[in-house]
Amino acid sequence: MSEFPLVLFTFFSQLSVGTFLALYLSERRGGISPASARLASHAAFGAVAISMVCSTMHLGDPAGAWRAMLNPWTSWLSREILVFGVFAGLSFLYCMPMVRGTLRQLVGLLGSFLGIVGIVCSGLIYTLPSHPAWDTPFPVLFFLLTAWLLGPMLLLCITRRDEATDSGQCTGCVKILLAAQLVITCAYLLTQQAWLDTNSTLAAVRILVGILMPFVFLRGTSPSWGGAFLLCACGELLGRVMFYDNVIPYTMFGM
Amino acid sequence: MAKKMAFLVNCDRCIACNACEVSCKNYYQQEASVHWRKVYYMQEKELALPIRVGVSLACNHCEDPACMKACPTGAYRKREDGIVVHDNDRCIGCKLCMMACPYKVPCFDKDLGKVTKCDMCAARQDNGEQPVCVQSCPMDAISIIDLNDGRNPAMEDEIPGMPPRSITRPTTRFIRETAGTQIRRDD
Repeated sequence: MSEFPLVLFTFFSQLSVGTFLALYLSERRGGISPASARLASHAAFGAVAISMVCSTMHLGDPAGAWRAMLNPWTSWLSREILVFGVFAGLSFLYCMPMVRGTLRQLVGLLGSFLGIVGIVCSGLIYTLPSHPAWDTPFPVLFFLLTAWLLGPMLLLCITRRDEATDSGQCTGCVKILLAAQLVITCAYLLTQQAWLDTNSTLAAVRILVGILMPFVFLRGTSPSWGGAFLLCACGELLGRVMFYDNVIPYTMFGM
Repeated sequence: MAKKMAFLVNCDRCIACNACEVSCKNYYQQEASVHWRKVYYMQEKELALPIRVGVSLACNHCEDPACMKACPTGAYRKREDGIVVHDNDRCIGCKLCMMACPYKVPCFDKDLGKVTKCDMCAARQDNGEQPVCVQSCPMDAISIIDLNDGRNPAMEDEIPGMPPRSITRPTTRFIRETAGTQIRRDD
């Protein structure tokens, strides 16, 4: 697990963006209680704050982390740090009670947009020709799906007691996203197998725990969002560990 | 026309003694796991006859360096003479250049907390000296050439076993091995 700080950074940043986006859309639609909205906004900010701390743990010179923003002209990593920096600021603002009305909508819209842009930047960092399995649309797709799966699930855990929560529609959307994750994960493992060193058992566990078992928790009229979220989160973490560890780059004379 | 400096590796002369690798480590006193120059062996399946061919490689000072594009701090710079240099003061040790380089050139120095790599002994060359690896090779298997010099010998720009050169367009050039007569006993 050589890149565990990056596993945590990508996981928490994507959880944060997903939660923020789901919260913004829920507030636009209406029906979410102020207490739930406050808790969700704090969760989104907390997640992005954790992700920023985790990202510095990956550096050999953490004190120089600010220099990571100095080359946005060619480096996707620079762009990612800049965008997520602004997103973190906006998610902090979104927690403030005095940010209301039109200003809140503006902060929510901009934060949602920048969060998605940040995730796309994160994925494009890994579209490296030196790693053929990553030089595909899969990194961006994986990262977006993590956000779109975990964010709404976390929000639904928080808002489960709000009467206006339309669980049926939400359940349907999450199931579609889980199905998409299954298709994309299998497509990655099958189409890129020449450039992956995949442990079949771990891949099976990742699919079973993170994609198939959540379906069980989402059955019926009272889905268990907490259970589904925990399983999905474990699956996403395992999937991310495998993403970093299983890739095979070009070799030098077979080494 | 500006010079375009590059390594010329003569695989026919190389005896894989590793003097180049050791002299580089000795001169720059790097941390143990850092190898700016490495001696590889061509794989037998790439060779017509069962011979051992050593290939000494350091940074390829590519025309389109992946390390330079990936680096978030702008720590890499390609000089006018083509040498790609790395600024340790700017580096934050994110190791993205190590992922981006197809040739596994940048090395993470645990003591410094930063990435380092071969810079073709740019400072020595600026003083009119040869790179340490070139000077130490007992077989004159490594040399520095100007790719814009029309007097260069016949050379190849890629050898089997390396990643596709279209990724970063490395400037390292090669003189391929020649195998002598071999007598095989099949009884």
